[in-house]
Amino acid sequence: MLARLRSWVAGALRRDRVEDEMDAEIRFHVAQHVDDLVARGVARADAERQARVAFGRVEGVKDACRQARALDAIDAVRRDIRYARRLLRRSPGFALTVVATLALCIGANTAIFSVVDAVLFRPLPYPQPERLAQVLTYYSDSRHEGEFWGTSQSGGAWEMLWDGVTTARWAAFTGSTRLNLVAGGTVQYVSQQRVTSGYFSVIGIPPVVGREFTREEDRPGAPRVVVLSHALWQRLFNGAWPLTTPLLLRGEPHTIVGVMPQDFIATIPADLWTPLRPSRTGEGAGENYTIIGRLKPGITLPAATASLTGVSRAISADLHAQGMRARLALVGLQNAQSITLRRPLLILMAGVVIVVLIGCLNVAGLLVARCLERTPELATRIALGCGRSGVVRQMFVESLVLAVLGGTAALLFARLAIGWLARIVPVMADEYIQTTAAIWQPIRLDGRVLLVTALVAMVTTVLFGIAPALQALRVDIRSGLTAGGGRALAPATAGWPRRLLVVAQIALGVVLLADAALLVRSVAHLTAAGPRMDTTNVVAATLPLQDVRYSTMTKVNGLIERTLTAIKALPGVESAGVTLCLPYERGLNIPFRRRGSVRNDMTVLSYVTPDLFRALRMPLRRGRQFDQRETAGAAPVMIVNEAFVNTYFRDLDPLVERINLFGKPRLIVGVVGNVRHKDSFGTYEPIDSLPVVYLPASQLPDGLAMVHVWFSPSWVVRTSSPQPGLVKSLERMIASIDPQIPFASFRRIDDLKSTALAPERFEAILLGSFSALALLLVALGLYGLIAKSVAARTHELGIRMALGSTAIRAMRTVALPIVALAGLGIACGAGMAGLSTRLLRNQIWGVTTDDPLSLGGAAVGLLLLAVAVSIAATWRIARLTPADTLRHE
Amino acid sequence: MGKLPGLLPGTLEMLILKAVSLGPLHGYGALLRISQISNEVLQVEQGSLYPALYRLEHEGYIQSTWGTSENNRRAKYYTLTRAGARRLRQDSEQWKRVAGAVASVMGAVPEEG
Repeated sequence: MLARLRSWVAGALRRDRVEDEMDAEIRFHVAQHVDDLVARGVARADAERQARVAFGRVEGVKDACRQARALDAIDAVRRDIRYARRLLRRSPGFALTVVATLALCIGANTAIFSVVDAVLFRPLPYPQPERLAQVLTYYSDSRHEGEFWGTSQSGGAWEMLWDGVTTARWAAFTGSTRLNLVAGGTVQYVSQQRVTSGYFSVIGIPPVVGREFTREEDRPGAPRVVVLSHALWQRLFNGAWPLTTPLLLRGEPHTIVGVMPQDFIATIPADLWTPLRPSRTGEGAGENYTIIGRLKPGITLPAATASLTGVSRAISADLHAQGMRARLALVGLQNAQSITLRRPLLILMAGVVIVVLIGCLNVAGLLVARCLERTPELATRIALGCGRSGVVRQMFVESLVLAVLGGTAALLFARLAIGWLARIVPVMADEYIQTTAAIWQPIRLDGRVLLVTALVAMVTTVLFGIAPALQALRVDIRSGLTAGGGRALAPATAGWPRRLLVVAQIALGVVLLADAALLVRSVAHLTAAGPRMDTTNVVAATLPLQDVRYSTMTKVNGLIERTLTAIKALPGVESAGVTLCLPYERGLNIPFRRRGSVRNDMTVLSYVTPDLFRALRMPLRRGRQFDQRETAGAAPVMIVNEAFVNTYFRDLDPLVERINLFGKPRLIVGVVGNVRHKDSFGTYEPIDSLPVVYLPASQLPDGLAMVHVWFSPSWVVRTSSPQPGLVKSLERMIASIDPQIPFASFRRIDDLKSTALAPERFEAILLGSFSALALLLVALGLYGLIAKSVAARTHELGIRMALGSTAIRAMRTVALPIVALAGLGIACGAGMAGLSTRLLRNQIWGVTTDDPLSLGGAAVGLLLLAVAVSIAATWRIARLTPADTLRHE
Repeated sequence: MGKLPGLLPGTLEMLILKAVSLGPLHGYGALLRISQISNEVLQVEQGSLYPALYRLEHEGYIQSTWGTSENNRRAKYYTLTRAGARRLRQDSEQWKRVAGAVASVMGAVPEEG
């Protein structure tokens, strides 16, 4: 088999050399024979004659040899390819349209598939990845219908799993945080992930040198240890082992116990790992751990899920006071980690498949029309003895040439598109709610994607290669030859297959446009909704404070005081304040209990300095702002936002309420207007006006500084006019107050908003561009169909106009059947769109899946497109003069 | 030098494989070797030799390299491949069975009585 393939390739690529060798071989044979005869005493001239006769007809032998090597088939195909190239060069418009259509369709398809493949299909880079699973919690709430899921678990759940459930080996980890590292005089800003003992063996990848954490090291108060990534090890220690010098993390010495392999990809990108030290208190009191497990041999996923029933019951008992129930389930690790990306990616994939379908239908239509046009030529070729199979092969080769050209162009386009997607998809993954997923596998144009591209190209070729070939078989030689001049009355449109194609294309176009319109309207709603903020001339500087030097709120307040004093002295600064949680970002969620209530409620908690509300221009609705009265010793107070009042104190006066937070009852002294935050509990939009409690930074318990492990406070500065040098002077100021603060990020509030909506926007932009592409393709297809129809009927239309028909009426005669077909397609499409938009149910906000504007807009849009294309394509008729057309013959 | 009498289909290819299995040969050499070994009973028709060689090479049973002949001409030498050796084994077994069967049919004498 392989030998035959090799022989084929050699025959196809080095045709000349094969011929030369054949000649040489035969010459040698005859010469050798002559020598033998001469040696036997035959005269040379006689010997030459005898040898030639003995060999037989050289050309006949050569032909038989060619046949034996299958060269004749190769030659036929080469002839077909040459012919196809000539034909395509003669009609460049047709070739360009087909190649561009294929390039865009297949290219977009390849690009999206490479993302889907990397995120959803390619297995995780761990041994036996199918045995790895993650614990998800499905919550149901007596107040709402349906379930919502959480990807994180509490310390209590972890202990119950670890102690009592034996169907899997468990490990837990947190998200990564950035921190300061000091080693041998260099300071580095690196990312840290905390993991339980056994994490690396559950994942199945042990350290390349050293060891992973022991159970003893994974307990509170144990000696501090750290495992390094290969890259960090090389960077800091140049690969030296063992290492005796401890590493300073956040100012505390850690012993290095292991190094991970070079190609190791953690569940979250990280430079180093420290023990999680899970507990039921502190961070373990809330749902802050991701728990994964490796199923024990013989245990299936459903069986392992069933073994979690006891844990579910215990958690539900705790949640009972809140009217909620929890159901724990094990989900394959890859599925669980891509849970938020799966739906949008599959929707995009479906969208791009629709584009491919429309594109293929277009190309098929073009080829069918071209085939009809070429009927006389084909009939001539059959009549001259080419044979029907020869004609079919010719058509197939033509399609193949187009597919190869289109496929090559598609690869170039896909490379560009993948480069772009590889940049935005990680942002999508980052910004999606609760997603902790790393993009496990690089998004790139690789062999697998190439294979799929080739398959799509092949299927396309077959799809549009078969249609014209079938048509070619039906060619009636005699009528094909005699009708050659196009004098016959052509049918209104070119046969029912083409009409069906048009209906299908338009229907698919409506579906795609309606879905894209819904996403666009949803993004428009999210962008416009919520309170307006005056964000001109506002900059936020975010400082990571996870360092022993800021381990208490007293120390943090010292920093805040010094920096704010310095900032207010800068030129042009109008107001400046500090907040734990910026608008459009995710906040710290805490449970609290209202007076007389038996259930816990959730709120976002932020601390602020008095001027923060002024810096963000957040309006005061009731009561008062924070001021100098809020000292550490004064009566504890808080300010809440309108959303908080509307959710929890709808019919009450909030200003007399006290709420217990951190062990102290706090009086609500004011109500401010809403700003939107990323949703993190309940059923909110991606960014929404969540209930927020603001505490004065000066009145916080010292222990709350712990929150800086997960959240970094921001300094919000408003200037009265644009201050180009502001960021520079802020950087200088921070460095002069604390040179060891590693890294400050400066952002504008508007940027925060657009980052927060990035995933929704990307999804809408991508599906929007797919539908734009689809519309372009539909328009091209329609135009081609009508233009052909006009060309075929020029003669008939000329007679009609000579007999008194007006140009308008003639145009109508041609265009109306097509517009009627479009109407049929739109009706079918509207029905399909109604079904397809339901897939978007959890992806859209502020519009419903049966949004009449989107569905109706899509239908009307395609109808207008059909009419516009009809007018453009029949415009030629208006310029027809009957005399010319009739004389044209 | 008459035509090969009543050669069974595929026999020529088997003979070529056998000839080549004894050592690398060019086409003319194969012709001579078959003739020699069969005591000049089997004379392969020159015109059908090369298509057979090309078919065998195309199917991977023999492979060719260019070398120099005894009298210093450039010639294409064929050698047996592993697949060729396998095919030759199968063919010769098959041949022995058929030849034996034919021989016993031809050797049969009419039953007495």
